[in-house]
Amino acid sequence: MNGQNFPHSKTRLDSLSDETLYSLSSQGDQAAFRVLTERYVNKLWHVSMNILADAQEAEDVVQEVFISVWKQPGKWQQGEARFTTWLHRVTINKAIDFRRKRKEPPTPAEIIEAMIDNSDNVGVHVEVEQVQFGEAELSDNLKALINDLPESQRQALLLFYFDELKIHRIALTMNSTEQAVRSLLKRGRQTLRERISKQKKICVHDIGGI
Amino acid sequence: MTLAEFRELLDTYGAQSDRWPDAVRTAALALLQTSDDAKDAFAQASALDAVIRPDSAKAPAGLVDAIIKRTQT
Repeated sequence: MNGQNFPHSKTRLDSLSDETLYSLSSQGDQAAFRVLTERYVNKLWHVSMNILADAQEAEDVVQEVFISVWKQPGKWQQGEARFTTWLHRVTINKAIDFRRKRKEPPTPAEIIEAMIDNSDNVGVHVEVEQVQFGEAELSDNLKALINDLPESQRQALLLFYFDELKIHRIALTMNSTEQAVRSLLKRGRQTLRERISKQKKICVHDIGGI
Repeated sequence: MTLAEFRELLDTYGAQSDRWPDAVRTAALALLQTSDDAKDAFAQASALDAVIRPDSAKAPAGLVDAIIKRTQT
């Protein structure tokens, strides 16, 4: 499809619903398509990352999803699932496809062969920067919500999300059992989800009437 | 894996599939592939993760431009 010239102001487009933007985009309105893409690019990338744990693959998934939205207009039908629900489902399907098509991990013999082939690079050590996040990075609102949790739930969630500890490490740190930690994480997430939904009316509506 | 078990998995471990227990990951991804309800629950769990860790939910800079560029070819 060739982008046609649809004169819209960015401000006006930003105020339009997903459905209207999709409709305009389906008619070749590239400005509307851009606003729709900007609106969802972070969410879809994050969903893809959660499935793939690979930034480049997640980027490829998001590109393919949006390109199909542009090139195959009419795939989403009003009256079925909400647009955002449909878009998330399409992205999840695509990410799982990518994951299934991954090459099998190399065998030890292949790894040794590759090391010999790349002997010029032997000795090059790439350090991945470990970024630690603490409570300072939390928004005030979220900080208040988390602080309102029972202390053990709060501690378990912080260790899980910000120190990125595995369950058994959290259990060791908290001098608790893995089962107890799983229970704390579960109750903490459920409580946070309920409070966030009530307080900010986000999540549920933003991602499609779930 | 049932949908209820999948929801419990998300409540316990969040939506990052590489943090799910190895023993259930394959079954969970299989359900995610076939069930719209599982997809919706997964999207919701991802959104909660993103609220807690907004830094983890930012697409690379330039991704929108790359997409737009591809629509112009």
